[in-house]
Amino acid sequence: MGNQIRYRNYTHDDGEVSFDISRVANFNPESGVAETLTVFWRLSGELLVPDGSDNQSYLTTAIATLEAAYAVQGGD
Amino acid sequence: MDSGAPSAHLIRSNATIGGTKVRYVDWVEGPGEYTNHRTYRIGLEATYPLSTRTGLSGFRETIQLFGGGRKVRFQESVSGLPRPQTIKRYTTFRARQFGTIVGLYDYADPPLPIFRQAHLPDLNSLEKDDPTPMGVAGRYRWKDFPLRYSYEFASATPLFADPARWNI
Repeated sequence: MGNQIRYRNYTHDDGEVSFDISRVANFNPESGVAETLTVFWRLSGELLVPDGSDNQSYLTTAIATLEAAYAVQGGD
Repeated sequence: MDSGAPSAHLIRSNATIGGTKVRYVDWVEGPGEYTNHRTYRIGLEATYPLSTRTGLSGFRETIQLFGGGRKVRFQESVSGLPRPQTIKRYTTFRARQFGTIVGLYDYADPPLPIFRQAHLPDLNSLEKDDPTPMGVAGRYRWKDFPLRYSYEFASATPLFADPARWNI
């Protein structure tokens, strides 16, 4: 097993997704002091149809499930 | 992780300013898409507060000094030019100290009046503006709390001072 990516109650399949993380400090334009830190996550992956499944209906459901999970802002 | 515990790469929405933001969910077009796979890209963003030494995101102060000299008025006549006339040889020295102090995550205390002995407390003025909301609906937090202050002073002797500085 490897690491899994999860957003709210949606867990990406093992190995389905890769990601990179970058951090940017945000500086006050007047003082030059760093006030906040913004973290960007970029996920890249594929929904894969398991052997023996009906491709179209499986993908339609999988896409809708993923869309529903990420339609909600403010998740962990 | 295999144990089920979260890894070090973790966003706790409550620890951020305004929650985790889902910036985009893109479906990528390419060969074979929607046959046995569907490619996606997802972008998430979260902003965390950093502690600053002063807890301020802005500060600016102005000192105005005026008065102290002769008081002159112009005497107007029906047909002649107006003529200056000194009606008081000395006037009161006056000063005004005003500015804006912006607290990063809460209202900050304004500076104290700069001329204690000459302070006219009944003319103090404090104005608070709304802070700026940051974040997504239902999860926003507030940042940058502006407070404007003003003090007035009067004295029989001259008043001199430089404005306070943002001690970053």
